[in-house]
Amino acid sequence: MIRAAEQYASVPEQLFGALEQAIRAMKQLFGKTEQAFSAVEQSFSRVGAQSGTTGESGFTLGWSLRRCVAEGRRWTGRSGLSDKARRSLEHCCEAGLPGESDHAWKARAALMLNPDYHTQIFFDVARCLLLSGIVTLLGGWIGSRLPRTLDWRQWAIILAPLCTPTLLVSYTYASLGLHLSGAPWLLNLLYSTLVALKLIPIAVLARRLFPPPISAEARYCASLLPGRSLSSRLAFHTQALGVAPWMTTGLVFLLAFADFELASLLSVKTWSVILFDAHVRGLHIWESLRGAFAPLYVELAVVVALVLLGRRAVPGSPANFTGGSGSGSRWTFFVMALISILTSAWPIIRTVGQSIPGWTAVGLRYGMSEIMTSTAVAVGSTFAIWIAFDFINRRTTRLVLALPGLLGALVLSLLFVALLNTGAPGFVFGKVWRKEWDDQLRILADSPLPLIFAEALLLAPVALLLKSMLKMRRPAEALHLARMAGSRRLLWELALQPSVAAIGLLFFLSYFEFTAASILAPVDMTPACVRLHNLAHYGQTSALSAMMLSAMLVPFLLLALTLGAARLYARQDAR
Amino acid sequence: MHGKMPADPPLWTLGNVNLGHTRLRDVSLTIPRGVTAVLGWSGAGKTSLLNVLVGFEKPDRGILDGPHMFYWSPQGDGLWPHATVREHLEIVRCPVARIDDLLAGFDLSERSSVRPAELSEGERSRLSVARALAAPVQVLVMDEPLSHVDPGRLGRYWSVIRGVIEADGRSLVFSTHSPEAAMSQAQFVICLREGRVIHSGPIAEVYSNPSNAEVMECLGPGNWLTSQEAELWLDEIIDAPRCYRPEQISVEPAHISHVVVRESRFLGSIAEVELRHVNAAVARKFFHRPSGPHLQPGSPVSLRLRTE
Repeated sequence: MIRAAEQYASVPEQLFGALEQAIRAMKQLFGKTEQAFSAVEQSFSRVGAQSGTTGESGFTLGWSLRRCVAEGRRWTGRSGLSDKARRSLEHCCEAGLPGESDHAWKARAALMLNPDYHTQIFFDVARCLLLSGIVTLLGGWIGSRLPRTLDWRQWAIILAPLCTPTLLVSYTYASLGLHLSGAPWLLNLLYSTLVALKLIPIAVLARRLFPPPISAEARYCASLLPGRSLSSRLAFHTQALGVAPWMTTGLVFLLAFADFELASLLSVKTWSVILFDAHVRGLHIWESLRGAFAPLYVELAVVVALVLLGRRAVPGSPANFTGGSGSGSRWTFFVMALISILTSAWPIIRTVGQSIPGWTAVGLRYGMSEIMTSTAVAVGSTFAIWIAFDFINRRTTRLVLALPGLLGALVLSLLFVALLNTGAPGFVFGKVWRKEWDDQLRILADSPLPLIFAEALLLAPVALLLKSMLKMRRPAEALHLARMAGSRRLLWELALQPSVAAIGLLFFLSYFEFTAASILAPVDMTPACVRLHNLAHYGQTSALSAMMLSAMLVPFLLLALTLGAARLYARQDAR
Repeated sequence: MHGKMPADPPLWTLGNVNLGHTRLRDVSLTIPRGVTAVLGWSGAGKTSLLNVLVGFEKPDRGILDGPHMFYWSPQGDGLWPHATVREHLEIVRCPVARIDDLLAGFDLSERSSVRPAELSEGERSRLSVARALAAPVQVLVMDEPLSHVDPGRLGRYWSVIRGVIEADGRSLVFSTHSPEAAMSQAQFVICLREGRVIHSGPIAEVYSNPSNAEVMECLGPGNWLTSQEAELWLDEIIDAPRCYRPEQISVEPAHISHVVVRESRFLGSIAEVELRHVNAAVARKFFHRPSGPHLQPGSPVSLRLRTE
């Protein structure tokens, strides 16, 4: 199919012909649309890149294709198919795919995950174990030496690597990755370093928010005991360390292991890149799911370990966090600032610099609908999970809701595709499940709801963490007094402002989520991140930089507007 | 527990010890064997001094010489969150029989299998003291021991501490806000104010003959009188200002007197009375230990020193 598409797509005028061929192939091979359309789009884009049509013309080509795919998708609507559309579709299907049989294609698709897929998983597990250990140690070291109190500027520097969209970071370092493509080990090192730098703020935050259960005084008391052997001292301190460092390691492992976006743009081969590419190139969903089982087992093992560790956790008092001071603290902050420059400031500066010539040519014109889609999906998923946690009070139910998100976007999205498109519920529920419900699920699959739901699940672990933190730090007595006084300003400062900041962070994460969006978004509703990621594969141009910047500014603008409006509302009542 | 000061070499010797900008300033003193109380208001430097003594904090300047083997009950209790109450005492290698005695002494027997997170503040503070007493060392340092314990049971727990210290011939340095605790338990006292040692010495001497009003206040309320004031109010001739403790002053109702009551408040074991000298047209407050009915404002009183 791809070969057919590439053959036809080399001449832009023949795009529609190529699309027809592709739809034929799609109908013949899968009996469904999603993967085939994605594959067609990718193959067209690749052809566009190979024929040198990058930049503005490449963008136009891609955009035309997008519309073609949306049109083709409508042809294959299951209900209300017009006679003309049905005839056209039947004609396409009868024509078949020239040069490649159904059997041959399936065999080729099955080979996409072999022979080195499982070796790659093993390598990724080892790499992520090492990386998570280093990140936890380094982040813990930085977190313990930073000053006890930080102002908002210092917090901004610490959180910047985490909050900078991965797309921007990968876009910035993609050209360096290309230079290193001849040396896979160096490329892997660059990729692992970037992942580590981006995840260090998590370890720093964990060290500050979940201080060790043992106080400095208690540790010193243990050291005063005479004549204790080295092993007993070691056992004592390992036990006294608490579970927080192990949980941080587990969390960092999960995030590093599930990464796809950074690896994809840097052209690093990871299990997620292999599986994703195989899936969007047309690997049958069951094959994709079979491929996802091994990483899923790894992730589940870590999630179970996290749950077990969480049950043993002894809460540490915030007083146990003593923080650093003096020159040691200043040096630590310098290290953190350096990390922020590499993973946040430099990508932003570089993209801004590149975008200046392209700004007038592109601006917001071409990206507005994608930005609106991303915004709508992010708003939907953020509020869905935030409100869900508002209504769920049982701790176990909350945990159950948060766990699927830890499996990573790729595995979760594949599970969604299987659930909606393959009749899997009928297989699971047997006779209770009605056949017509499968059709309804397929209609649902064409809507943005699965994406919103999947994004909400992916946000759930972070949302639960933020909710717990807000609850822990809620000044209950002061809030009660503020309500009694009826002071909007106090209510804003004590309760609303932290909640708005937390919701803003969730919105931001959802807005820039790529993997689930690329698999679950309806074809005629492409999120900005997906489109930018696809275009970013073909190099850096001023037009693309401008689009990237405009897409990135939107969540900040929305957050600033929300905060500004809320502040104005609060100021009207200055008590 | 008051007794003769031991002639042994001192436990700690400090020479011009400084910590931070103001936490400890030029602290020079010797701490003898026996029981020493460190007294001072909040922020006076009590915890800083004890932290330096045990090596938890290093002084920025100065000389510090002290024992190598000691145990510490820190202000924030310093308990180990992963260990049960009993394990706290086992970890410090306390003999089993003594563990049971200490747990019983501090009313922790029934809580022996729980972890610190499940203990109340008072129980945590008792466990911290019990752990220090369980440690097989001759010198103990306790920062505000039993600080969260209800006053009604304080005496009982102090008697457990005293019993262990005396039985084993150990030394104890403890900080406290309470002059009563210092008076009842210590032989030696160190008074701190704003990071400086304002006085150190045998507690009985500091109590009865403090060098100035500041030192006097360290060990509770007192009346600091200049020569003129002593002559005016007490008809006493003294060469230099001195302290009269409440139990040394008697304020009794009188039929005729130049001294009248302006205000009187009963504070528990002592009373604070504001008196006005009609002839001299001056007024001042006195602390005394009342022996009769409450003094009414405007009533004449006689003010004199108790002779017994």
